[in-house]
Amino acid sequence: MLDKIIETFKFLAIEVRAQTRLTSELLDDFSEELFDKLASKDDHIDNLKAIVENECFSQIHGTEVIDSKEVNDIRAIHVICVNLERIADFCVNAANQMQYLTDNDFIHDYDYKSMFTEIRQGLSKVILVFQSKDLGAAIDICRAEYNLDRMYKENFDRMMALLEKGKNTGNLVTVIFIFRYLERIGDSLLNIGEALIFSIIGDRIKIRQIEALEKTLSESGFDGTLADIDFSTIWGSRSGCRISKVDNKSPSGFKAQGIFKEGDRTKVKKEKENIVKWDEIQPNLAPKVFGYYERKDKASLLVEFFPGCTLQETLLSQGDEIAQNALFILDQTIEEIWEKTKKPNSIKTDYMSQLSSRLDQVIKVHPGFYRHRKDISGFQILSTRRLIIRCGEIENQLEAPFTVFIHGDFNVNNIYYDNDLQRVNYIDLYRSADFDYIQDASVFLVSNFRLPVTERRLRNRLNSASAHFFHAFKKFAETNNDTSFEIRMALALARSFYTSSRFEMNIIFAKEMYLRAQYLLEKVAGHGGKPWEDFKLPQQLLFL
Amino acid sequence: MAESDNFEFESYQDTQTIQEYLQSLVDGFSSGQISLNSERDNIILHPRGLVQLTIRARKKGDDNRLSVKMSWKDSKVEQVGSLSITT
Repeated sequence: MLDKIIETFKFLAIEVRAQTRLTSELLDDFSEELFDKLASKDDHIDNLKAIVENECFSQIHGTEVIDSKEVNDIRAIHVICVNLERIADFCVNAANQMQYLTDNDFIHDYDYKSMFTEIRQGLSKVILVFQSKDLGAAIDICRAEYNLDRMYKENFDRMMALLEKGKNTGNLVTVIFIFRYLERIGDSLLNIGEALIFSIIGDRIKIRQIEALEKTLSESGFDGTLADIDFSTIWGSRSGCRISKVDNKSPSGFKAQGIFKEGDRTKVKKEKENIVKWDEIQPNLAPKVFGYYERKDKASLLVEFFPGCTLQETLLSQGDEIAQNALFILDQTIEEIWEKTKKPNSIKTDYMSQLSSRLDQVIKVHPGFYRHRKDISGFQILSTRRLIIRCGEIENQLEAPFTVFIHGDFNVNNIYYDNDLQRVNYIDLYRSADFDYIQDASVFLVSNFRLPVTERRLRNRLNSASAHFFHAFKKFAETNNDTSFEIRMALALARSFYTSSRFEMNIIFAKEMYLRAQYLLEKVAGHGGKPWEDFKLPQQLLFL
Repeated sequence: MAESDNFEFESYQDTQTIQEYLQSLVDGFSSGQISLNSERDNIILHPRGLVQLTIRARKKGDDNRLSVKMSWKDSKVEQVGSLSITT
């Protein structure tokens, strides 16, 4: 069945290429006869595209079992054919403009021929690349868009300069329209190139990201080509960064597995800088940086991939012994890092402003997760917003007595455990900074709580992990004479419970977190005026 | 359809605060008026006369439940007064 689709797809590619040639000839020497030929061919191209489209959809939704590779091919063919047909439309549109020229030779002053050469070169590779899966050649097709943009700009600037002189304005505007269609053909070629990349690597990776990966790999000392790279598991987009796992295909290729991140420059750069800091604090804790590359407001980073499991996977799928080992080693690692990086400067925390800034996002997901002011026969209940303000005022009077170097997003997904090496690793480090250790401690406890587990045995395991770590954090506080530990922890937990509810679609579970957050806020607000060290956090809130 | 006003409040509380909530209801029963107000809903109840009281408790493993339900009808004495019976 795929053969039939490919057959039609080939015809379409050939017809569209012929159409671009015909258009170029028409611009050289316009004739009605040639234009009619072009228009009639366009109907044929529309039909071919409709046939491919029908075949693609019936294949994907048919009864025949097709593997993911074939599905990727079909998806790519569909995108390519839609764009091929669009190119044919642009050809007709461009040619149609010729009737508005008072002098057909007027266009000959501008270099449309080079643009057509670029277009035809791109189109001539489509079928070949689809069959050979040559990534480099797919990237070349994408680059045709850059070249066409550049050529368009050169011609456009010349035309604008003449327009400003006020002569031949009608003809100049018409020619601008024609060149604009040629430039838009470039956009379609880029879509075609990216669809081909998708059919090769199985991921919707943009040419910009491919180039960033190339540069990042070359920074890392990798001297092979992209063909040596295997893009396997795609981890999707997190925190606005595209994350892919990169592996070596050939033994001579890239030596280690890596995680490729590409995204906002500030974030990616911060992560790289933090990795360097982590390495000084605790070697082998953060991933090694293989390569880094910056371009305008984007940056990319290739870092070491840890072969173990995340702590989440360890807790949910490993036996008791391994899970216990993981928690024991994590406990030791945390204590060691906190002791090592402790600085005696007190610091203000911002848990309530973190909560305020995300409150609307929570309400958007769960509209009922907001309490309006209430009065039960004289018993006053504050609205959620009022409660947050009141707690913010209390938080303002508090200080963390010292700082440690925190992870910054210390949830169980960002911690790896390797049982063979008996080692934990931290990932996603762009938020690391000197701050209150309770920031990490509270995020960790709530990330443990919010794992979607109802099975009693696993839930008990999570509960006992939370109990263990809460005691460890409390002991650290006592050892370091941190007397406001429990009230700061209450504020930070309230923040995490409340904001985490927006990621939970199970309304009963989400409500558990929301109500716990409300309770903590009320408890802190009710404590105003009393000594901070007297505040007692009910540990029961950490368990389900 | 009869008009219906509702007031709902759901929360976690410790046993000390529960007593404060219950006390405010007890005070309401004493004064003959329980007001339940929020930015959206306002209800004033006047418990008097016969009040049906249902207390239910359940214990299942770790889960405990105690529900106390009180219901009554507003008195209609004035309406009854319009009927005269002679012997």
